[in-house]
Amino acid sequence: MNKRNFVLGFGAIALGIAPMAFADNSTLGVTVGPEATFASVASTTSLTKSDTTFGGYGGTTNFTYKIRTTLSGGTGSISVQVTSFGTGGPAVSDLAYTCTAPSSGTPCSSSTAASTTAGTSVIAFGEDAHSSDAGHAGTAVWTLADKTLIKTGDYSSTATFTISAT
Amino acid sequence: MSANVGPSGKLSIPQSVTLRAADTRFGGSLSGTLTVSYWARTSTGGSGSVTVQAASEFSPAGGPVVANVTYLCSGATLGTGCSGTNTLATSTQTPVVILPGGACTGGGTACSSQEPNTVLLTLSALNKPHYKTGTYSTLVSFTISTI
Repeated sequence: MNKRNFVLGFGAIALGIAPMAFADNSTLGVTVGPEATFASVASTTSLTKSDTTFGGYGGTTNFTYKIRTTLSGGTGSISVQVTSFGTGGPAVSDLAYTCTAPSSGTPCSSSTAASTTAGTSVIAFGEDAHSSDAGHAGTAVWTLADKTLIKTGDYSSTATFTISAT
Repeated sequence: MSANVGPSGKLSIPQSVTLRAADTRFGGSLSGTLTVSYWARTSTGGSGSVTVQAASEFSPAGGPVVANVTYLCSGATLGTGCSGTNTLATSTQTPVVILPGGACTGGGTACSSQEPNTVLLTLSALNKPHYKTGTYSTLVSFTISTI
């Protein structure tokens, strides 16, 4: 009996001096949710005109955005809201825009009136919408009617673009 | 009575770790942390290591791939944690901790005073707009080897 125990013990020692390895597993998960951001928005847009016969003003605001909407049932939007031009200046009711967008979204249809009270649509996104990893470019092309009652001078309005995704 | 004490090691890790975005504006990576607890004894003149390897690609497809996942090691309480940014792989074990010869966990004196020893992994994956929303997972295997 003693001899048998010695043999077993020697076996254990032999195993003990060998290189050993032990492993354990873990599940690595990644949660990817809807997100949206502007990569850039032009800080200024000048509305200009090429005549002196009361033709309208025009200008373009360029922006780049990144977006990812939920695979099923998600939506997204880019909207814009403007402030008034100030006393004696153009009326926001005379300001409108058209939009361009790549395939990730649907640009506003035809000419859209700007608003000081609510964001108005620039681009709409459906479910499972994705920009490229570098971002997609869009534009808002502004038109402003030139009316005789506007006093001469420089006027400015702040256009706030908002992007969201669900 | 005599005993021949050989190299030994074991480790313990959380059952899961999830990488998430810190905001909803693509403002940073998808990230998460994981603490690996390990016990080790290496021979004088020996060595050891803790490594990690992904068992497969993420499932389902449409999200990040394993090669997008990087990790940093910090605060190893025994041995040397991996240096710099390391990339997770399915094809090879990548380093987490390198153990020197004569290393041992716990007990103080010649051994480390901590038991278990730990190392913090900060895992990150680029947050790309083209990923489809959802939850993706894969199994990662941590291995401790001692000589």
